[in-house]
This record gives sequence, C-alpha cells and structure tokens, in this order.
Amino acid sequence: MFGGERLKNVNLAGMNLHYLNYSLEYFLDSMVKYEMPNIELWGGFPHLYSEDISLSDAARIRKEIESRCLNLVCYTPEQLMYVNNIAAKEPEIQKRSMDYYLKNIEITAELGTNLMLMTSGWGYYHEPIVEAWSRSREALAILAHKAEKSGVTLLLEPLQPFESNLITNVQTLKRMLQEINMDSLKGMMDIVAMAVAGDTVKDYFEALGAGLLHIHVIDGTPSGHLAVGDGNLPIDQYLKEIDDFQYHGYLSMELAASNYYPEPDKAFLRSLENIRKMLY
Amino acid sequence: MRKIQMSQISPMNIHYALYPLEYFLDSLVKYDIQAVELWGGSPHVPIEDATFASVCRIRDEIVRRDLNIACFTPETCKYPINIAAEEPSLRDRSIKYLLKSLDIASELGTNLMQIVPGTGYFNKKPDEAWKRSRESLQIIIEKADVLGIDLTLEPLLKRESNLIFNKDLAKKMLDEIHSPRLGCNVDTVPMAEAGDSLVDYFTELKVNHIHLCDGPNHVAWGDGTLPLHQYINELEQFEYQGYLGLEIYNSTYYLDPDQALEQALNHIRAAIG
Repeated sequence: MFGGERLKNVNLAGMNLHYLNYSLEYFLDSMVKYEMPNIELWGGFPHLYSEDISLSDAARIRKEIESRCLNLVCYTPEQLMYVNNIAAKEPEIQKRSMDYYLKNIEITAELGTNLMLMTSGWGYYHEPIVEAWSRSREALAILAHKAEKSGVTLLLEPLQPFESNLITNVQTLKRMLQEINMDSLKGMMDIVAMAVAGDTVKDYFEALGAGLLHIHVIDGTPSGHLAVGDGNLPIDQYLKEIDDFQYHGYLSMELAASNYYPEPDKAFLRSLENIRKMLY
Repeated sequence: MRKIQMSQISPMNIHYALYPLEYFLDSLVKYDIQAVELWGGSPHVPIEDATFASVCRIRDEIVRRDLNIACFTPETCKYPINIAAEEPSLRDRSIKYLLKSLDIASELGTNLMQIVPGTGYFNKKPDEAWKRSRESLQIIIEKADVLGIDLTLEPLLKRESNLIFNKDLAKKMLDEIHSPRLGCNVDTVPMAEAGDSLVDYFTELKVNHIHLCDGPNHVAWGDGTLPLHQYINELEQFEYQGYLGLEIYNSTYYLDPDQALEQALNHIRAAIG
C-alpha cells in the first residue's frame, strides 16, 4: 500500500494475448467475471488477425466489447510473432509489414479507440544499425501520418535486445520521437523492457513527461511477460514512482508466457489480486 | 546396431531469425555439417511472399554449399496458422498456406515436410477440432502425394494443442488417416513432457523424422536435462537412418545463435563418439 491518491484499480486493464487458445468472447466474459472494466485488445490470431478480417468484422468486435460495458483503452496488433518488420531490408517484407500496420490503424479507428501500440522493427544483428534505423524512421513517419488522418495516436514501445536492435531503451525511444516529431506518435513504457535496459521510471517520465501515454505493467526476471508476483521485479515500488509522477493513463497487464496458455484465467486472476494489493 | 552418423544431424535456422539465411548456411559449413532442416519463416523463407524465383535462389544457396535438405518445416505454431480452426476463413487460409508450403518443398528438392495438427479452443471438447484437423491433413496429403513428398506429423506440447500431445494421440491420427505418405516427427521435448519414449514411438508407429532437442524449452544440448546418450543408444538400437533435426528455439540464443549451435554440436559429437 502506498500513499498516492491518483493511481487506482480503475487504471488497470486486462489483455487477451495469453487467452489465444480460447475465443475472444471467452476472454471478454472473463474480464466481466473478474470485474475488470478496461481492456487493451491484442490484435492476433485467432481473436483479431488483421489479414483475416474486414472493417465490418472490427465493428462486430467493437459491439462485443461495448455490449459487455468494457472500455477499450488501446489496440495492440501483434508485432513480434508474425512476419512483420517495418525496418526489414527486403522490400517485400517491408511492404507486407506496412500494409499490415496501415490496415491496423484503420481497425483501431473502427474499434473506437484512439491509441494503437507500435514498435520499431529491427535490422540484421551483424550489420550496422544506421540503415535499419532510417528505414524504421521512414516507416514510422508514414504510419504516423496515416494515424493522424484517422484520429489515432501511435504509442511507440521499446523492445528487448533479443527482439530489436533499434528502440530498446529510453534514449533510443526519445531519439526516434524527436526525429519524427509528430503529435500522432508518442511514447509508452513497458516495465520489463525498462528493467532489462537498466532504465528507471524516473528516466521515462523525465524523458517523455506528459507524452508518456501508456504503461504495460508486467513482472519479469527481469525478462519475461509474467503475472505480477511470478517474477522478481519491484512492481510496488515502480507503481509508487509512477504515482509520484501523477500518471493518469492506464496500466495494462500484458501477460504472454506460454505456460499461461492452458489456463489463462488463473494467471490473470493471480496478477490482478497481487496488483490490487498494491493499489486501492 | 547402426551407428548414428554426423551426416544425419540437420540443424534448423529458427534461432537465426535475427540474421540472414546465408549467415546461418555459412555457419553450417563452418561447423562441418552436411544437412539442414529448413525452417520456413521470415525473413529466411517468407512463405506467403515466396515466388518460384525466390525459392530457387534459396535452393541455390543451399546446394552450392553442398548441404542436403533433410526436411522443410513451415512455421505454423508462432504464426497465425491452425488447420483445425473452427472459423472457416482461418482454416481455409491455413490449408492454403500449407499447400503453398508443399510447392516450396517441391521446388527446394526435398521429399519431407513437417506438419502439426493445430488445435481446438481449450474450453471445448476436442472432437470437432480433431475431425477438422484430420480432414485438413487429408487435403494436404493428397497434394503431397501428387508431388511425391512425405509428411511428418509432430505432436505438440500440451499447452500448444489439445489434439495431439502424446504418442497415443499421434498413433490414433496416423491410424485414422492411414496413408503411406504420413509418418511421425518425434520431438524429444514434447515426448519427454508427455512421458513417452523413443522406444515406444519406434515400437508403435512409423517415425519418419526426429527433432533431437534438449529440454525443457528447446534449449541447446547441455543447457537442459534430457538424456542425450540414452537417446543416441536407442536410435542406434532401432537402426534409425533418417535425419535428426536440431530445433534450438529459445529467445536467449537469438543474439548469438552460433554459440548455441556450436555447443549443441559439441555435445552431440561427444555422444556419438
């Protein structure tokens, strides 16, 4: 328990990634069952894979969410598991990736949220990153323009070093945001990526200020996407620091460890109960 | 008894995904390896974007290094592919993906392709998903037969699939389909997790490929707890002459894939003797 008055349970959001062996409706029903009012919707197979759906399918998913009185706080098309890489050297991979994210921006608007998560892509690890960085910057600028027209803000999330060699910490995040410098591209913080990079909550708030629009609260060792309590990160301390910076956004629990797949409710509930003890 | 040969060892490129395919192939040459199990995933073999010309280029890169292709293994677990999906559009796209993968296997010049059963939703009984998986497999086998390609069906981990996650379920599917084109790919990681053994598999069903992996979690040999010497002995006892794919698949190896492969190969060389 800590003394902040702003950050509360109402800021928490559940995510569907580790429910991928269950239907989307099952996940939504679970959120209702556990009195979780907010969701960050992961756009991945089989729940919402953008290549398989039309905008009318997205509208149907929006109704499924709204009919349960759930609040969609962010849409997060899958970024790492599939073939997409906006910084790819191969033109066909880059084109496929751009088509994927351009369509996902339209889906974001159709779903009725104005935030979409985005990552940098990566370049081959044995090559200097300067060209991959340029490709990523050009791609992100195109996507930010599309987002602007669609009334969407992209949330740029740093990745871990085995996921990307471009944006992996607060410095590279800030650098990319400054180079592109558009209102439709903002930063976010993922607790695990932060801990792995050796950054602090303070580093993020000092670098991004009010431009820090979204947070993933997950546990790790320090890597992993674990339920709160399953790792060894000082989550309660992080929450107190986040609170001290008067953060008003959402805290999504992005559980993604594959050993949660058979019984996703259990992991979600454990995470929720542990984090509720730290908030009020 | 027939000694296991190093020429049967066929490393996979899956943990080299942050490096180009050529980098991986050069590593195989460097480590004096003669065969490759080609993982079909981006950026090495992006299946949906593959063209006749792009596959020919890949084949040339492999052939000019004097490497044999043990098996073509399209990515189907991590990617949005499920041949047992209950939504017709998802299942149809998944089948199409695998039919195209067969074309790629054929152009690569290999006669073996790996396939997995897919899964049903875990909160439902698997009966209907089982039927959908079987029917999808039959469609894919029909085309494989035309192309002269054998399929090797891999049981998955229990957390990945509610259809085939042990030897008995693999045998049930093989029996129901009963095609000379279809055999089983025994991956030692799910095998050990299910409590099955190589002896059980060799005794009870047709094994046409093996993933020789340390576990849990598909780690490089030496980083897990599985009994490599025992596996080699059993393979020799059953005079296994097929390939042994090395599926090192753990994100801790992505940054330095050579190190993990070299370590695994050192352990295997020592075990073979």
